[in-house]
Amino acid sequence: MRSIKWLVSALAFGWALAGAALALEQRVHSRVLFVPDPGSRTTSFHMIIQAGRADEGPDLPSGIAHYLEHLILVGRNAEHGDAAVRMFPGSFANGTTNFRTTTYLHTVPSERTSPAVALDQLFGFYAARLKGFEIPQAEAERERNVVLQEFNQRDPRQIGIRFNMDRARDLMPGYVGNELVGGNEASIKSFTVEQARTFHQRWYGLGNAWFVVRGDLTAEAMTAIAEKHLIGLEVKSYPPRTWRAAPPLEIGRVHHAETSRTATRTQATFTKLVRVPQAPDSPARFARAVLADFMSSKFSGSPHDALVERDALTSNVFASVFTLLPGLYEVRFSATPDPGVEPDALLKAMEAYWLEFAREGVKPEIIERLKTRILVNFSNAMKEPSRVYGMLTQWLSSHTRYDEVALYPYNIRQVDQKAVNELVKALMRPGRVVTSVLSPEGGPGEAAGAGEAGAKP
Amino acid sequence: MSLMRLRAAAAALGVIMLGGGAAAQNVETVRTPSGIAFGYAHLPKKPNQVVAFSWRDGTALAAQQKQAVGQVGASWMMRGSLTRTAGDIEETLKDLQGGFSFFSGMEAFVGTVQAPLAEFAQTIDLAEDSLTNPALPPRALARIKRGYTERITQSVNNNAGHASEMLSYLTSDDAGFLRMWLQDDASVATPVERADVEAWRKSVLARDRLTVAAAGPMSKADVAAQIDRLFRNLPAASTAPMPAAPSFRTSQKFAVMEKPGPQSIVRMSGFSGWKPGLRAFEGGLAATILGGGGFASRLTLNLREKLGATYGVSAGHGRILGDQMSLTIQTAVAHDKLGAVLAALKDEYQRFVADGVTEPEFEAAKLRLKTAILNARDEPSIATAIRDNAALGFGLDAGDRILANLDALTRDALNAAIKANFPPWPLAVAVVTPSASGLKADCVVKTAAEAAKCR
Repeated sequence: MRSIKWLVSALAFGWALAGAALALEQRVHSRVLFVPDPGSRTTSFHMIIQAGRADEGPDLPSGIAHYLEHLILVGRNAEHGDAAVRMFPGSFANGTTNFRTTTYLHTVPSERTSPAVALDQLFGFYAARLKGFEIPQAEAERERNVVLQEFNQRDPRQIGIRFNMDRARDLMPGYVGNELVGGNEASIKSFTVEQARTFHQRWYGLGNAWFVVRGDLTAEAMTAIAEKHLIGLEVKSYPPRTWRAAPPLEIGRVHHAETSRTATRTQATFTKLVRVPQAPDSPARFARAVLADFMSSKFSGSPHDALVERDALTSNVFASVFTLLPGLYEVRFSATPDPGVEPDALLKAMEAYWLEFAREGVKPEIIERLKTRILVNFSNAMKEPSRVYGMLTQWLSSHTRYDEVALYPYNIRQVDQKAVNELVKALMRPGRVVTSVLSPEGGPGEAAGAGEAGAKP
Repeated sequence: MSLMRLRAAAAALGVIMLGGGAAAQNVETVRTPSGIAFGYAHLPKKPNQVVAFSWRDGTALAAQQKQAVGQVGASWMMRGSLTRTAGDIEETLKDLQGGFSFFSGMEAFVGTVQAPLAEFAQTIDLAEDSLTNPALPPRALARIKRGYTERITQSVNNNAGHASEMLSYLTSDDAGFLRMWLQDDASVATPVERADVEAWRKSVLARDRLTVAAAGPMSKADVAAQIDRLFRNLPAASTAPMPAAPSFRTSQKFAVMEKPGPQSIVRMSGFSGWKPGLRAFEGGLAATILGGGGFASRLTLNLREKLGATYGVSAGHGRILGDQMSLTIQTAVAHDKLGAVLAALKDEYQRFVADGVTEPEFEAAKLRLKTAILNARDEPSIATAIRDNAALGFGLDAGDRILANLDALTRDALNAAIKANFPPWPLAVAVVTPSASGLKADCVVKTAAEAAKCR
């Protein structure tokens, strides 16, 4: 089995290097994936910088990666005197930043601007942005205010967001992933263009970027554009990804209860963080995907079936298993108790369900149904250029290696009841458990716990 | 079921299908073996088939009490059938990669069924079962009703919601419409019981008011057969009231609610002169140039790039109910820039109406809209727009005619239409901000409902 898997991996790896991981796209440059879409009325472009909030480091204010994204998009550069967001009439342009990536995207109607012309201009612009950017000081300060308004619009100080962040901090103290991507009010007000340039110099470069494009042009034309603009760009090294090393796991339990004037419903959450030693290519990663689909389902034995239908404790439960980092998993249940149900009773039921689930596991016929869905959906998606484009941008944004993409269907097929139930049992190892209850003031759940108690605004 | 969905459905009935293009879409009228007429668009290269359907229903506005009986009923019908639990149906649909939905709004009950070609018949079976034999479990009804109360509770801290509600109270005295539109009174739903929903279903879901459209790879004969299977158990005639248009009033008042928050919320609206139909897209096109469509809009350039006052501002134009169409502008801004923003909005709006759009603005917006129309008609989801246009009486070829009108539109014609149809300044304005001091508001309110007295 291992030798077969090695052979398949080698073939897939070679295939990925030579051409397509998903069959529709072509790798026209080491960092450029092209999805031909004959007849498409729009040309789509993504530049994905594999650096985000988590890479900012202690010497830069939090949220600087996001500020840099704004400066790149609205700056004034030699390649395009106006903001990049207005590069093409009638087009759509935007940027997004998360913990791991910063993405720049454009969709350009083909009727007035041919795909080749649009992509030539976009590659020329963004290749230059890998080297640097310019923005008048007054506009940089204005954009800092815009970023502050974006922060205020999202209103992260509202109780639901703050409470969930507190819970995440209890779960993994000191982990950068617990913080807001865009920074906080104080850090935003302190942003300078020089700090943005420092982040840019540290992380922006061809070796840390992927380009994914889709449109009605030939691979030859796309190759020529890529080579015209990307050859000769500086080869540089990048700092280590300190966020990939998770802080030590503090085994134990924390309970956090809070009432708030602005909370409008009671929320009870059970979370458990577990470290599962595993090899980098462990099948547990793919067993997690199947397990997570089971936990969000309404199958017999699912959390919904137990907590909603059987026990009538809640009307709706969120349940899943996440991979925070390789080998580090989070199990999470969250729900609002039905009237007459104490939040602590719901928490106990969530934990009891999880323990019972470890004994029962997932039935093999359900695992096969879940796998079939994943594979059919994947297979259907591979037939449509727009869906291939979407999958590629999503995977690369999460730092999935391109050569791993081709192996995805094979890895899902290998998942069996043994793999899923082994993962479930592994998640029963000692870990860090955080239970939390947020209640409206005057409602249930006012009991104090190990965390802070009492009314807060 | 959320207020947003209610409004979206109402708007959906007014959204003109933007289909057609350089080549006509050729939506045909086809009849099923049992005589149901439907609009048929053949998209042979797409993997999924969609059937969209609706019944005209004025219950929400005609009912004195229990106005949300349709809304509750549609949601309740999705909670399992007499032979299958909701969970079984949901998991089977996931296996089929298909789905169906029901929704009841202020003018119609609407639904869709979608699935890959090979799985379409099975998906129709599940939809038919829920349509004609819904289980209507009591626990599910209790949960649906709790949702109304919870949404009201959750809206307490939603300043954007307060501003939108204030606009509604400024521009309508129709108590029945407001109760259903805003749903700030849980009694629209809490008295609804099983007998009410059963009576509503019998009165609405009949063949005589049914509008159907289909788009996808399925042949005419095959989709006709599936439509007959879906509606085979419906009675012949409906007894539900037809939708009646609520009454609105023009307001040019400025109301402020003093409430803390991270930003000041601004909402403006005015009724336009456009009527739903083949030229209403002009209002949307103009609104895009004014404040929609990304970073090139007038208001974005002014409020975001010049003043740095906001992350985003938007303007839109669409149908509310009946023949009433409305222009709306909304933004959330820094408190210390509110005065400058209000002044800028006034100046920019008046200049826009007086001077019209420039040639580059016009060409860019026209290109974006035309591309969106052509892309939309290539997807099976276009069936919903074909359905909605047919239900409003615009005809199955409405999409082609709208696209032709767009192609022929000139900048001068659009500017003339803006002058003739954009509401005059001042618009009705609602602001939620910590202090009304210095704003020269016509009234300062503590609740959104108090804005009704602002005359």
